[in-house]
Amino acid sequence: MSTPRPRKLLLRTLRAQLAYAGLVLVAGTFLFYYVLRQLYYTDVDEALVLRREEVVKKLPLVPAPADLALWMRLDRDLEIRPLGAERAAPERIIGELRYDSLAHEMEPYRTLLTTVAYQGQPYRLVLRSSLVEDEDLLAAIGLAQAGLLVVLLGGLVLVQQRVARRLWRPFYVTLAQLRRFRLDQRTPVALAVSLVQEFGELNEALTELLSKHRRIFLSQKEFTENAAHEMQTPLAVQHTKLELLAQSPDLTEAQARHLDALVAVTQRLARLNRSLLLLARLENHQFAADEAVALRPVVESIADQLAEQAEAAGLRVELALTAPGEVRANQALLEILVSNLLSNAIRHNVAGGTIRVRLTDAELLVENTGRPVALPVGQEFARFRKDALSAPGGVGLGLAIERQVCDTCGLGLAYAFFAPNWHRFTVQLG
Amino acid sequence: MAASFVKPSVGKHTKPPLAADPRKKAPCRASNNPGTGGNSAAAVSSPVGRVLRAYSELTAYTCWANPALPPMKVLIVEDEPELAASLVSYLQGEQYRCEVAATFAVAEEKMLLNDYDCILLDLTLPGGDGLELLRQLQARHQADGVIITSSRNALDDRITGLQLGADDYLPKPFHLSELSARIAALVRRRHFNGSNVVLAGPLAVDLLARTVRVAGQPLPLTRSEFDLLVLLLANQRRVVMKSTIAEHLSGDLAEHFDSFEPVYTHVKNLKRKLAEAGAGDCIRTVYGLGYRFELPAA
Repeated sequence: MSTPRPRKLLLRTLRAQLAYAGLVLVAGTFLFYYVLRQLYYTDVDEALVLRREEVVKKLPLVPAPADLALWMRLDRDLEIRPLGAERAAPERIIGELRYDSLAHEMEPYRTLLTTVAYQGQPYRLVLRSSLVEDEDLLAAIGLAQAGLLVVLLGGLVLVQQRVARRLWRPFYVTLAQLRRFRLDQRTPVALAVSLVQEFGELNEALTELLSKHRRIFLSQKEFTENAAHEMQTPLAVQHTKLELLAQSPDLTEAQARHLDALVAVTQRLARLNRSLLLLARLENHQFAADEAVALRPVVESIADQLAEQAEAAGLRVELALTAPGEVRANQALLEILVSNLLSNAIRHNVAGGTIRVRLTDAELLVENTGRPVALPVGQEFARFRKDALSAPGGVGLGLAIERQVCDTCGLGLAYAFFAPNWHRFTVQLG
Repeated sequence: MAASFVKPSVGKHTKPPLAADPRKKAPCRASNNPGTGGNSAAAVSSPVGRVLRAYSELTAYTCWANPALPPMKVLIVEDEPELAASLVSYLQGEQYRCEVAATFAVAEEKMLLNDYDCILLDLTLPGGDGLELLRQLQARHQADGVIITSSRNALDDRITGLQLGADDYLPKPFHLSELSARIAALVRRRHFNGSNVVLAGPLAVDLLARTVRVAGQPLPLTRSEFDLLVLLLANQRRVVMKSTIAEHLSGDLAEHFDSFEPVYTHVKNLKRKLAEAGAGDCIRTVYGLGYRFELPAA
């Protein structure tokens, strides 16, 4: 079962009200009909009894039994015949359907059956009253009811819209403020004071929640900065000491080898630390990504700088930058993205391999030959992925950074593998 | 490895805007010894300079070991004592006179009392924000001698710092030889206006025109080889680590690669060209750790 589509609150109340009103309309119409019919029948039956009394009073005036036929011809609703062999029954009134020779269809009737005496003989007297008006009555009642309901509902909707809209306005104001809210905005959010108690409480609770989140965000940001300072400084000390150590005049070859390894590790630590901090900042949304940047010069410049490494690795680089690739993003972040993509394409390549870079207005494509195995699905952008595919020397954060940069700049990033050994990263622009 | 593959490097050391970087850093990439080089360029037009130039050509080591000039004064604003000690140790070897300020208050006082050729400014200080010190310097029009050495690599700090008139931004951890090269560039620009020829033995390196002459004869170098030579010249008789060279030549992009293949190639080519031009074997390999520029004893 699928979850119902969310609808506006006002619409939801209105729908409940409409359903109830419809129910009342249908049920009410039937109830009215039965009650009114009962009253009507009683009325008709009374008229029949009165008529019987009238017939009984007029019967002695009929001179001969043959004249009864004339009377019956003049009055279709009257029937009077000798009782014959039938047993005299007590007077009763029944409902029946008869064929109406004028309307050519079956019509409902109320019929009074009784026995009367005429010239000393028992006669069966049948009086009928047509109920044709019954259906008209039902239609009239339904119409009147429907009209009433329409008027009622129309009024309800109008009242709802006017009153409810005014009542709910503070809610929508709060909603709009929440939508605009950004954790990194400079000023704390100030929600309007509402005259409706519930909204007042809601705003109070929200203000508290938001300011708490802002505090957490700010302390997180502060932590990021502190972490940078606390880790970079010891690293800087370590690095400079190693550099000073390298100046010793009587350095032996063995010592130099150890020193070299230490320098490499320190560099790697520094790199790792920088990457982690960049990731933290990206996740904290500490970058505004709304400047207009053209990708082509970025790609050109970085490709130019990396050409030497590509050449050293014996790779062929094919650039096809057919469009300026304008995006609204962050220049520095895009540079990080492109340099990560391109240097990955170099590092994860094979000897004599190829790198293709295509830039159109819709996407930036970086393809490279590499190992004949696809990156594990769903794991491409994970951190510190350790497997046969991770290249030596990398800190395992490159792709995670690419993913975060794309998220921050509102760009799509996809990975695909093509046999036998092509790896393709696509950045969808806009 | 063709020159066109490599980008200018000194400026690239700092991270973001690529586009903005070379512009900002362009002047400071001319990075060598402020003492003799600057002096000798001034020499072209003045008799005193000509004497000094002759003197410097006589001495084997030019750089800032020039006794004819007073030592440059450097203020190191750094709260980490060991780091400050490293900086002092390295820079004193380059004939700089160093003073250290470990807190905001001390730094503020020293900046008021003395005039420094260069200030290395850490931003996170006990007692205040380094950017505030920079604002004070800017108010006194002294901010152009400042190199920010910060672990706060946040973009806005870098931009604010440079907008406040700081000359350069070097994120921690940095390489001492890179820092030394940048200080040299800064001091040279501030104190030897228009002078840009560094002399070292038979070498005359014009930092602005980016040309090299060996014993008067032009020596064509690729861009990377030139940058490499300038870095080595700024750190004569010191071991410059190969990772420093890699970063100097390709900036942040160096961090993506563990291979020093391009560095080896450039060094090999530069060595060969210098030797062929008659400058002798002046680049020594130090056990695969790095390289040292040392003019052969005459």
